[in-house]
Amino acid sequence: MNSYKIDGNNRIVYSKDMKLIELIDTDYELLSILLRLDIQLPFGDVSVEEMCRRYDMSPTLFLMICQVYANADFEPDVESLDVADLQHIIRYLRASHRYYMESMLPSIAAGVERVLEGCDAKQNAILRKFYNDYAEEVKAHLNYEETVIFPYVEQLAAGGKREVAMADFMADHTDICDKVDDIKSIIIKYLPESCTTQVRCGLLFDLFRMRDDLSKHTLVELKLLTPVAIAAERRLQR
Amino acid sequence: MRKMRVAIVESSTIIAEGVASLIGRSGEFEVVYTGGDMRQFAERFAVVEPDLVVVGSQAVGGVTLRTMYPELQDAALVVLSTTVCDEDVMRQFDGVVNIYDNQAQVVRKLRAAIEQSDTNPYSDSHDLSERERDVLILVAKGMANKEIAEALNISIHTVMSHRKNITHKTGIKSVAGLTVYALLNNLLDQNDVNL
Repeated sequence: MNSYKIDGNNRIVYSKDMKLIELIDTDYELLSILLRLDIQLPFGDVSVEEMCRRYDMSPTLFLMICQVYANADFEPDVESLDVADLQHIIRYLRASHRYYMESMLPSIAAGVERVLEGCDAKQNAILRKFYNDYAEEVKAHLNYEETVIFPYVEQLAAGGKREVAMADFMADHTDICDKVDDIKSIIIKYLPESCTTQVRCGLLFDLFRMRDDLSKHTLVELKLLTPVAIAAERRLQR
Repeated sequence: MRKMRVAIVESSTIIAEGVASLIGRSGEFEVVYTGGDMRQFAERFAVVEPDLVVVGSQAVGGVTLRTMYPELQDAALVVLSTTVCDEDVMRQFDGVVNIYDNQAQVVRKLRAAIEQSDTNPYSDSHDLSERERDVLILVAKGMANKEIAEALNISIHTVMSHRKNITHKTGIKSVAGLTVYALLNNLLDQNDVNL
C-alpha cells in the first residue's frame, strides 16, 4: 500500500511518512540529491523521516529541496524554517558543489574531449578554449560562494554577524546556465559532420542535466537560502 | 500586430507618392522610405530595415537586384509594373503589382509577397544576412555596440536589433559563443580574436 497522499491536482503530496523509494518514483532525478548527500543504498523500505534521522537532516528541509527540484512552481513555506536550518542548507549546497566539481564537470570534460577528437586542429583549439573558459567561470562562481557567501551565512547561523550583506551577495549572483545553451546550439547545429551523432548526444545529455541541475541549485539558493538568511539578519539587527 | 515596413524605390514621384498613400491607408503597412535611386536606397537599407521593397520596373534596369545589392535578401521584393518587362528579370520578385490594380488588390499582393518570401520576420530563416554577418564579426572581435554602430555607420538601435536576430537565428547568446560560431563558419580568422 502507498504511504503518500494525492492532492486535488493529482500530484503526490510529499510527506516525511512516505517511503524513500516512493519519493524516487515521483522523479528519478531526485536520486542525484541522495547521491550528493552521500546517502547510501540500499535503504529498504525506510521512510523519509527515518532516513533524515540517520543522516542528521531536517525532513522538512530535505523535502523542500526535493520539491524545488521536482516541481517548477513550488513555493516553499520558508516561515517553517529557522536559523538552525541554515547550516543544513549550506551543507546541502556544499555537497552539491562537490558533486559538480567531482562528478558532473569531469564527465562533461570527457565528453568534450570525445567531441574534439572528431574535429580538425583549428576547430579543436577554438572549442577547447571556449569550454575551458566556461569551466573556469563555473569554478570561479562556485568558489566565490564557498569562500565568501557560505562562511558569511555560517557565521550568521552561529549568531556572530551583525552586517547585512545577503541581499547584495545575491544581486551579484551571475548566471552560469546561458553558456550551456550556447554549447548546446554549437554542438547540435554547427559542428562539422566528422563528429559522430553518438558522441554529440552523449555530451548533450550531460550538458542538459547539468544545466537543469544548476538552475535548480540556483532556485535552492534563491528560494531557501536567501530568505532564511535575510530573516536571520533581521533578527540579529534587533 | 506590428505594421510591415515598406520601402518604395520609384523614379516617378507621382507614382511613388500614389503607391505610398494607397498602401499607407490600409493600416497594415507603414511606408518608411521613398526614393528614386536603387543604389542610394541600398546604402540606406540597414537603417531603413524594410520588410518589403516595392521597386519601379524602370529602377530594375534588367539586372538581378539581389545579386547586385545583397542587402535586399533581407526583404520581400515586389515590382511595380508600368511597362512590359522581360520575364527573366521578373522572376526574381516575390510579387508583381500593376499600376492599374485597386487598393485591395495591391494590399493582397503585398501581403502574399511577404508571406512567400522567407525574409518574413516570423519565419525561420536561419542563415544570417550580410549585415548580420558584418555585425557578428565585429561582436566577435570584441567591439561594443556603440563602436559597431560607428564602424558600420548605423544606429545603436539597429545594431541591437541585428544582435537580437543573430541570437535568435544561431541560438547563441554569449560573445564567446558567437566567436566560436564565427570561427567555425570561417567568417573570422583565428588571428583576429584573442584566443
